[in-house]
Amino acid sequence: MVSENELLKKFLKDAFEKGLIEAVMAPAATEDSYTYALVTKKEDVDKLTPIAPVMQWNGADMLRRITKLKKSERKLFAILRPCEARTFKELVKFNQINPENIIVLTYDCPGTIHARNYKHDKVPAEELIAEIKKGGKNEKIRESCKVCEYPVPIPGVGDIGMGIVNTTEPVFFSLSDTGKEFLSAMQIQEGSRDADSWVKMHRERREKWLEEERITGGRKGIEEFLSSCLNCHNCKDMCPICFCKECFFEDHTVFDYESPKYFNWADDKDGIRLPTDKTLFHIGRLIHMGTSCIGCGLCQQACPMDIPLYRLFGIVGNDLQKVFDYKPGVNDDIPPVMDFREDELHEFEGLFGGEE
Amino acid sequence: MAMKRIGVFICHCGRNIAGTVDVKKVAEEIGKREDVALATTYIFMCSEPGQKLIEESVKKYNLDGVVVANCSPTLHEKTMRNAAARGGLNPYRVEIANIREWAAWPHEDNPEAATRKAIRIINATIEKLKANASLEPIEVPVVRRALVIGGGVAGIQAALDLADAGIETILVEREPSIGGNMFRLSETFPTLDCPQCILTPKMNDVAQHPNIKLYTYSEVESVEGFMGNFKVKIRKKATYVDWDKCTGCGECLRVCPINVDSEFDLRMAKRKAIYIANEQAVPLKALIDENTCIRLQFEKKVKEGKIKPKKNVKICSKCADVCEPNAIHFQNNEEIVEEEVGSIIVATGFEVMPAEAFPELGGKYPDVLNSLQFERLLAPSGPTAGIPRRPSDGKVPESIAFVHCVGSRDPQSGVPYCSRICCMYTIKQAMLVKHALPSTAVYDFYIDIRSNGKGYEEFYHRAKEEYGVNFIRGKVSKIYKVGDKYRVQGVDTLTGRIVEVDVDMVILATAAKGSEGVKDLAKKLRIPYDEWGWLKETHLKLKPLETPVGGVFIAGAAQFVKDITDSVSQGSGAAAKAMALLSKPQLEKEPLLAKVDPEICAGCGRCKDQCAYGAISIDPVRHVAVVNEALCEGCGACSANCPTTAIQVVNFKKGQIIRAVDVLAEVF
Repeated sequence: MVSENELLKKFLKDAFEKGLIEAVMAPAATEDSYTYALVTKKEDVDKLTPIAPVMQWNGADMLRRITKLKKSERKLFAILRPCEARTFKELVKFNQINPENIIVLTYDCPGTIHARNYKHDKVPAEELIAEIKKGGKNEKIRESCKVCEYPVPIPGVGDIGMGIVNTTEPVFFSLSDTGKEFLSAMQIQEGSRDADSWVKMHRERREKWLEEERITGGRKGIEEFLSSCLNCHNCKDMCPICFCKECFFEDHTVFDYESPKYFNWADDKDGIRLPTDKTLFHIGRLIHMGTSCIGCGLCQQACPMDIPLYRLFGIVGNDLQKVFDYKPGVNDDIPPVMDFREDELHEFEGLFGGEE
Repeated sequence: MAMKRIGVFICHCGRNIAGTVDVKKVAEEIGKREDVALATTYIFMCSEPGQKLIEESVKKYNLDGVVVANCSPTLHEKTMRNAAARGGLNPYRVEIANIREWAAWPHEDNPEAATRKAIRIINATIEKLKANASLEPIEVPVVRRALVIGGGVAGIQAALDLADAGIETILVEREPSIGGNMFRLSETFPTLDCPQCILTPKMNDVAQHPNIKLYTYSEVESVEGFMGNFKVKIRKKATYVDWDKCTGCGECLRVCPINVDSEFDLRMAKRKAIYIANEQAVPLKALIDENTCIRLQFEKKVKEGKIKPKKNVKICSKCADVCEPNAIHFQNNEEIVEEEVGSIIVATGFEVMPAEAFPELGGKYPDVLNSLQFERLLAPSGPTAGIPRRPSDGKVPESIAFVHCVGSRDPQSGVPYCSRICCMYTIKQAMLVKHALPSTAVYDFYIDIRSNGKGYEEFYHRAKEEYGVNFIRGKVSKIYKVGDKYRVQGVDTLTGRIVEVDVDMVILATAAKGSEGVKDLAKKLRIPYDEWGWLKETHLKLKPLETPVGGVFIAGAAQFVKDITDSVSQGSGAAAKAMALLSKPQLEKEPLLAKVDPEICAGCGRCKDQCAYGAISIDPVRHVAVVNEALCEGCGACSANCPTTAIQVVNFKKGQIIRAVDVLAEVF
């Protein structure tokens, strides 16, 4: 029996041969991890590992780099995880990706190992995949993967889905008209698999997680949560939604002060923590990206101090998205930060009503 | 470069500020700052010597920035900027610190805190000012044409004044004829002029004026552009008649077999499916109502496939058969025309609430009318030739009751405000009934009589004394049918007794509201309005004709219900405003506008989606936001929504605002 990765590579080679694609963007193994690779020849497909056990970057972020200034000049086939496919959709809304000429394939996601853990314990993709075929999920995967809300392809998000859960042989199905045409040109019969209970398992875990891992205790609570933060801004660098060229919090016209200001603050507040812009950075970032957090969890993976940042961005993001009745990356709704409604924010009081 | 020689001028505003704030102490404290070269006080900064003080000090101390601590910048920012500019300083290096409304007035009871707060406000303003750039006004070309929306008396006056001043003016009216509500009236208070007699000359002037382009039965479809350069699309609704050929002879009306309620007569009379708005309509042209003409209805259904016509079916074409100039073509001649104008005057008028909205006051009965409907019954040119008759049976009423304040001054079931004209027109109507039917009993139920205009109070006394109208001070609670009559139940608050009268007709002076559809129009123009459809002026007292959108003015009852005198005055006033704007070849525009830093802009478009003025677009090649300076109003909504503040309003940059907030947020 061929592995899913071998099957996908064959799929890509066939597509090259049939002239359906001119380039592929998918993960490829490196010494200690996995990177994204762009290949333009059939022979190079073997360099890829379409389903990698590690997600070092968000693939949609790579597509942003490729297409931001000019649409893809070649027929580009991208293999993305479900969270990356949602990011793709979200970034299109923010004018950061030009989706023209890109075909996205996404699949039932076995989750990924924390990049740093993988460096020391190289769990192969096949081990992760084997678990989900049986309807389970490996326990070594990242926190955000365990509590993923949408671990499966969603119609309208991407073009082609590959079902792996609860099936011995993977099945392909279309998510868009482009995908439908593509599969028929590939002469692949569309199939289906039952992933409902598998998704339910994730969502139950997520509900529990949302409840248990919530940061409480108001300002003091968040300061304690972030106490070991180095203010390195890595979380922002890895966040695909933080697409700004220059972060507001790195602008020295704003955060450089003359000495009397520091002393005044220290007088007023009976001493201050330095640097002064640490918690503010995280809160500011939350305001900027919270409603669009698609839950890839790369902020947490990026933290050199192992702060479980996804508990901050993911849970508050989840709350914010509820307030605006918006789910990022799953449909064509306009993000709240780009939309104006005369009638909104009624339930705001109720949402935080229970807490201090 | 940050400023180093700032001058701070603290105004006493008589005792307005100095009575509470210790201005000397403020000057002393501010004077300690390293970046302040001069901190001084003066009794009235806005007076000529006050301005002179700024002008001279700029020169003497070589000031590179000025803060004037006085009242709200909406009052004297411009005065102070000009004063500094006369001294040689760029006017955009002047900032106002509002220590009157923010410190002195709200803290009269605590002078010490008010003084500290004033110091704080000035310090914050200095922090903001320090990074202000020197700016030059932006010049925008002007199209020397005007658009007037609404062909009532205010719009007519505005259009005529503009046209007389040599400005090509477009007048758009949604009804088939101009004239508006005034043309429906019987006579006008307090002079009892016949509005048809005094308005028709103006209407004819509009039709014949070489500088006026009249579009009746037309509506504004969309408005793009900005002060001096608006692009307006106007939809000319389908008339199914060639108006170039139509002579207005009215032969077609005679033969049309379809009768429907007349809009002009407010259902007090019938008209035909092909009709002319009224006998003195301008323009005097026939049009077909597509919703009631049997031929057009038939053709529509065939087109939609709802019915299949038999062969050789004869459909009604009676009107076309008698039309000598062959003007009636039954073709949908709807058309969109585009006009470029430099200024727009909105004069869309008002409407009164229907009697039906007040069932407890008998609004459901046929002989209970609203005041505007009754005007038609009193009008000599109206359906009853000026002798009021009951709509139900045509009987001449032997008794009539008038009820004031129906829906007005009544936040629960109507509007909170006084509708302003009802007292006077009700008195007039009562008088006219007595004129036409001297033996008819007239009862007038009022809460207060508001007769505050030239000749108004005298008019009221005439009605009471000469005509014998029964004025009853009290509110009517209920009107219901008793046999052939209507029983009006109320209370006479002067005697404290319950009053009940049985009358043949009841006239309700219902509340006035902005015209139907005005909110949609306001959205197209991006001008504000309130929940009752009144357009909002920039300043109720000092800028009653202006709107926040440069180049767009309002006139007449569109702003709030007005009598004819006020509407005409405002029409002329708005025309003068537009003329002032259009008299220059170039417009100067405040340069306090949004600017994009293309180095950091990520081109996400969040700013574009927030811009109410449509001023932002994304450059497809450079993939960054671009601001159209002519459209931008500098409101800053874009900047607030930019995650990286790549787009900012000049002289309101993030560093400036945060510095000011830092000062204000210090422990007090």
